[in-house]
Amino acid sequence: MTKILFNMFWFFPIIIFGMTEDHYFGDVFSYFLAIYIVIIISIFVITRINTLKHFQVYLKQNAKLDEKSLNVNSVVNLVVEEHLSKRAITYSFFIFSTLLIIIFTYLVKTEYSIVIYLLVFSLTSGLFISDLLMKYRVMKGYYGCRQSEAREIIEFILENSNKIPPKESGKELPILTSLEVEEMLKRIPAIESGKEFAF
Amino acid sequence: MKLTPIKENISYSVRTALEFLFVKNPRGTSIGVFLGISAYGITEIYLHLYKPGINLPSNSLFYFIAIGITILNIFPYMFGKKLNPNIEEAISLIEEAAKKTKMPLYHKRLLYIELYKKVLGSVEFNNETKKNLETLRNS
Repeated sequence: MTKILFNMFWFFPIIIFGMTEDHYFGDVFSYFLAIYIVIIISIFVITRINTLKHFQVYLKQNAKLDEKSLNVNSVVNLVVEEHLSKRAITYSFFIFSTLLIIIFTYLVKTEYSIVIYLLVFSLTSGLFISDLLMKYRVMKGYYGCRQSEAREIIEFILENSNKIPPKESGKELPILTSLEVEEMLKRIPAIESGKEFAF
Repeated sequence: MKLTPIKENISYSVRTALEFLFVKNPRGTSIGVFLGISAYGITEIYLHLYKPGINLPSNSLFYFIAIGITILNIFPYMFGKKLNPNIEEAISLIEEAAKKTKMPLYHKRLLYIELYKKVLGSVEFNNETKKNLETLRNS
């Protein structure tokens, strides 16, 4: 179903350009462009947020595909899920703002510049790229070794201590998702003696 | 080992740049954009209904959006959340040590993991003491 919709999007701008041969250019073009961007953003959000929000399921699938060693339950996973659930609100506000522009153009009938639609679209895509980068860093095990990320994790631990399950007998909840750190700990004597290189 | 500092650096720098674009408060900026557009639209409708003939310049939409973003970001920027000073000291010590000794990334990461474990332990300790106090009060 989504594939059919995405194929339709290629035809959509061609139809619009066909309509803008005459004096319709400013009004009709901006109106259709806004609708086009709203549809793209909403599908983008519905498909992507659902996959990103259930980060544990995503990790399980990825671990099967690439045969990676990943912790499905960890503190950083909880941080990512909390972060992405908050992001849904920001995405929805961008959608509402584009819808508002359409409503005002209908009511007052003034031409809005195309730059405003592109601005909203670029902001949403920027948010999405930052989310992807966060996910990449978590998967690779880079997440949590910088100052700002340390602040994010510690703030989460202090605020949402109820969400973290209590320590069972002998078993701690691991902090990072990638198991590379534990491998590193085994390799440290070899690295420090100079037999192997870390990076 | 697959770890390369170049990928780490690039991903970190791009992500921090995007965070600075949203003033480290993306929800606030999104609400600011929404409020700016709505304020512009409401003023335009008001002018259209009660004072016809006067039109806002087309650039003023961006000024409205900028005002909305600044209003919603100035208070969290000025009076934002601050961590416990002990944790701040620990973070600054790790960063200083990393700068002075030029330690590799794995070493720095292990230091940070120790810090997280200590914070987790303190939180668990606090929760346990709270539970014990509640049971004592109820009994």
